Amino acid sequence: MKRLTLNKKLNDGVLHVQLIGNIDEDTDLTEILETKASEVIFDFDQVELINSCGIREWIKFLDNLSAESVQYENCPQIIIEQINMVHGFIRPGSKLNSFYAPYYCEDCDKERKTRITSNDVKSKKAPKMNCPDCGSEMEFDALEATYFNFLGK
Amino acid sequence: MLSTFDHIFDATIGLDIKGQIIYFNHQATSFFKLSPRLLKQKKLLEEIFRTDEFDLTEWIDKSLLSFEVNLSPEIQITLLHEPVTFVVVLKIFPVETQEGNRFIILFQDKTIENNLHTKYKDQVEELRKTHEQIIQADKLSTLGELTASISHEINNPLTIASGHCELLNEGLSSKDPMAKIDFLKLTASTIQESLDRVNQIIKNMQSFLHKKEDKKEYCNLFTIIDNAHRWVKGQDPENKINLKIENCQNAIVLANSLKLEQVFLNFFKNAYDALLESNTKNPFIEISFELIDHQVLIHIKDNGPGVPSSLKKDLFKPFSTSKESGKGTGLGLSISAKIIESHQGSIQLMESTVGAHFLITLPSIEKYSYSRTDFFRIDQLRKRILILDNEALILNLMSSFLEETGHYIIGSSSPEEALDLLDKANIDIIITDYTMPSMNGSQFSKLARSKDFSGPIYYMTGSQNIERYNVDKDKYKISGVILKPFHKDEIVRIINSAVKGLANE
Repeated sequence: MKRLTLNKKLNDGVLHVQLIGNIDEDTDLTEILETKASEVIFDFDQVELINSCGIREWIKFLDNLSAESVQYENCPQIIIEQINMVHGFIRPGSKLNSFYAPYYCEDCDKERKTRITSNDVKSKKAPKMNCPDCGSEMEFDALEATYFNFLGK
Repeated sequence: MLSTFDHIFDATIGLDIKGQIIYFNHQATSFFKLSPRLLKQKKLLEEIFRTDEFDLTEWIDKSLLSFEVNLSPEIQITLLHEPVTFVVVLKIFPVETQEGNRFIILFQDKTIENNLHTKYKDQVEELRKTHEQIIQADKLSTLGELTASISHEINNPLTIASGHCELLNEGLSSKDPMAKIDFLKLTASTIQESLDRVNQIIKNMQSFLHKKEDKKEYCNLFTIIDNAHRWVKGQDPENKINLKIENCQNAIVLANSLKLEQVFLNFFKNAYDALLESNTKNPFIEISFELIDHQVLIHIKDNGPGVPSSLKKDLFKPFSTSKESGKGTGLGLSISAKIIESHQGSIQLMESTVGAHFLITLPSIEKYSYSRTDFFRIDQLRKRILILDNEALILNLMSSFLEETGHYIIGSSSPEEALDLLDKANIDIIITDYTMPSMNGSQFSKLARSKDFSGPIYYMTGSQNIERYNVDKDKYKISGVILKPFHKDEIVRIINSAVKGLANE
């Protein structure tokens, strides 16, 4: 199991935290709490796994986080699935800036996790995306209503 | 109708009556790491994952035929398209829909629970090993500090042996050794005895240091205390410290004797250090026993300077010591407390106006036996056999003889406790020593029958009491007599026949 490591950078009161590895029962996020910052941006790009114990740790951590503004970036599909399923994974008022969504290119027969921003999604409809290899339009490879549920109405 | 299962947290698959996939919920796409597009292409579960030790097809077929709810054992599944393994429990149940009969399979993911359980077990095992190592380190350290005392214990018999060797040599070199043959034999025998004593001390040391088995057996507290005291008494070559042991009759506990010896050694060592360093006048250590409410209470008192009040709060925590640096590890009492706790007992420091007063509480052997978690489980094949004897060796012998029969063995060293146990523990068979300090077998049987105990009672005795058995066999319905010395086969045969008799009632 790949233990979670945290890369932290504090610039002008904004803390950037890069999470790398697995969020599970061994996850210790207290060092983030020790850095007093009014704004925290979490980058989930390199999170490989999250399990129910990790979710519990994350929610407990959010309860103790004093930052006024919390943002999420580059959330992989496993994080989006948890956000959609577990109450409290995102604190009310937090912003989820960008995330990955599954697309499929029929011409290349390839699945692609494509990074999109929350602003790209209108009325829970997946934005159009073209295959970076052949240029064909790709189809969204999940259930739109379920996948974009976290964006609200 | 199957869309109702879209809201279920567990991955859910719907099958038709041929076992083909006709439905999956959203959680199934996450769980199997397949997009809806790919999952739709799968007709059978075997196209999604494999199970190496479980015949999934047979289990599904049986469920389809029986049209009943079925639960699988905990099984491991491995996805075919990704190297991911889960531990799951499957539940299949039929549902009637407008399109006909369908079957739903729920996948309850137990992977995390399983991993946590393994992790927990590994960590507990690691802690156990560390604890054993600390105990061992404490033993080594304690014996290391007692080197002078042990040397003294060995030197005494060696001096005697060496002196008698000189006498033997002189005798053999005399003109007529045969004239002194009786004296020479006595001298040789004294040498042998002294060397045996040295040998015994070394054997005890080896056993104390290196025997690691965790077996609990019936042991006499007096013997344990006496063994522990031998290690320290050499610290007081002038024999100034008076050791008083009171009421040790029947003080038998079910314990690991070496571990308890370590506990008492720690107490003795602390008391000896305190008494000798403080030059206490008329120093004494007093140990007394009480048997109250199924507890053996062991009071350990001395008239030394007592425990400093600054240490009292954390006395049983590691590294708590009043000794100067380099003397004592500060682990002795914390290890002792852990050892006593592992015997379902406790250690307390009592209020005392003079010296230190510790109270060790251990469950009586009767309580220890029936406080086993499985003791009250109803099992017609396992009988509860009460063995009553005031000798720890006999209780151990009977327990080991009867171990293979699979019955519960409850040892008791006190007829009063044994009688009390009849009200609580649904005893099936009693084997009682005839000659005991507080009452004999006849008196015990009379009281047992007056408590409506109707099971077989056997006397265990020497041939001198056979007449008593002849009188009591009708009077108190005594089923038989076991003559000492007895053999395992005989005991097993008697118990088997008693159990058979109970079954026929």
